[in-house]
Amino acid sequence: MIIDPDHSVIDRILSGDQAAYAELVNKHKSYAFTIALRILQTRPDAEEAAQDSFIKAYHNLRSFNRQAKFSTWFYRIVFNTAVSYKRRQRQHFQDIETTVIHYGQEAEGILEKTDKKKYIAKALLALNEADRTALSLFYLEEFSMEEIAEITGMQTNTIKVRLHRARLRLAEELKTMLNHEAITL
Amino acid sequence: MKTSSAIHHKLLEYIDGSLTAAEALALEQQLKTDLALRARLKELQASHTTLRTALPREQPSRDFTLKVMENLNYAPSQEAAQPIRKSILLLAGALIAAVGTAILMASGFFDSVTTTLDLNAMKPADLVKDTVPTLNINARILVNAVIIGNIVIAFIVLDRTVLKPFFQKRLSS
Repeated sequence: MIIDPDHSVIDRILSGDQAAYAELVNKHKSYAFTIALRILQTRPDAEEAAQDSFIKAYHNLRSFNRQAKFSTWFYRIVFNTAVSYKRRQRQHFQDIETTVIHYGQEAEGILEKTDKKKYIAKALLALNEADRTALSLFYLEEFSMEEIAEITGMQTNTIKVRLHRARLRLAEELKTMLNHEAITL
Repeated sequence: MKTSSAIHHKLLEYIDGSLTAAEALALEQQLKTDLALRARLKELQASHTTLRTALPREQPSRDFTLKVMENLNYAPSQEAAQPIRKSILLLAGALIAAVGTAILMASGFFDSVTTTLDLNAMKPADLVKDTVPTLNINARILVNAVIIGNIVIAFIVLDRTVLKPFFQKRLSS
């Protein structure tokens, strides 16, 4: 049996205390939004997908069987919702180049507090969406490979390979950026 | 020296602490003598530490929670309906294909359909000197494989789109 503090909040919600759901939203919103943003790359879409995920989770809370952590179950909803939003984005023939520049500028604006964060945000743009997401799940919330596989619906081995590839690629990107920075100084 | 992909993976597992004691010891021995490998490990460790401490966590808008709570009583968007519809179409397609080919098979349509594949005519003569066998292909075997394949696909789709959600719903209620 998994001990998850979210389970007691879920009990309150299921017994009729709808306002208690705000606790879960406040706890998971930042991470849910980050995952959606890694996949969708635009803040308005990520915000909409994250909100939609919370509403879906609320309506399906009774089907959550508690054999896993709430976060694993919920982030799977976020992942699937963001991926289906992404499909919709593609159907609308969105200009990918414009999106990447938009995200880059926006990410820079938010993250220029520290150089490290700025470099990572830039380096992340060199990865594809699936690698970016796997990397975020691994480092931000420190999910295990098995949990990431559960969230993304992929095989653990696939996640392992994807994650290793993403980490190597990101290390290369950071190295190139820092070398370039040193040259231009 | 160019470090191979396998050793890169090993370095990452070493950083994560997921190597066995024997594997870690073997890698440490290798690191003692291989300067390039040691440099690569340092780079990967630096990147790992940076990601652990500074991977940006984004913040949604300030009224995010309020918006979610306001919309809680509205039904969520019905995106899930589309994959189910697609799955049912796939299930119907697989069953129609399986039944259709089975009917043709039963009527003896494929009984006389055979072909011979002469590999000797296709082989690169300068590379393969020996005589290679000629294959006789019977359409019945191929069609049987197609029918079995379709039935397997139909079962998988049936399980994922109908049975699994049904039993999950029953369990949760």
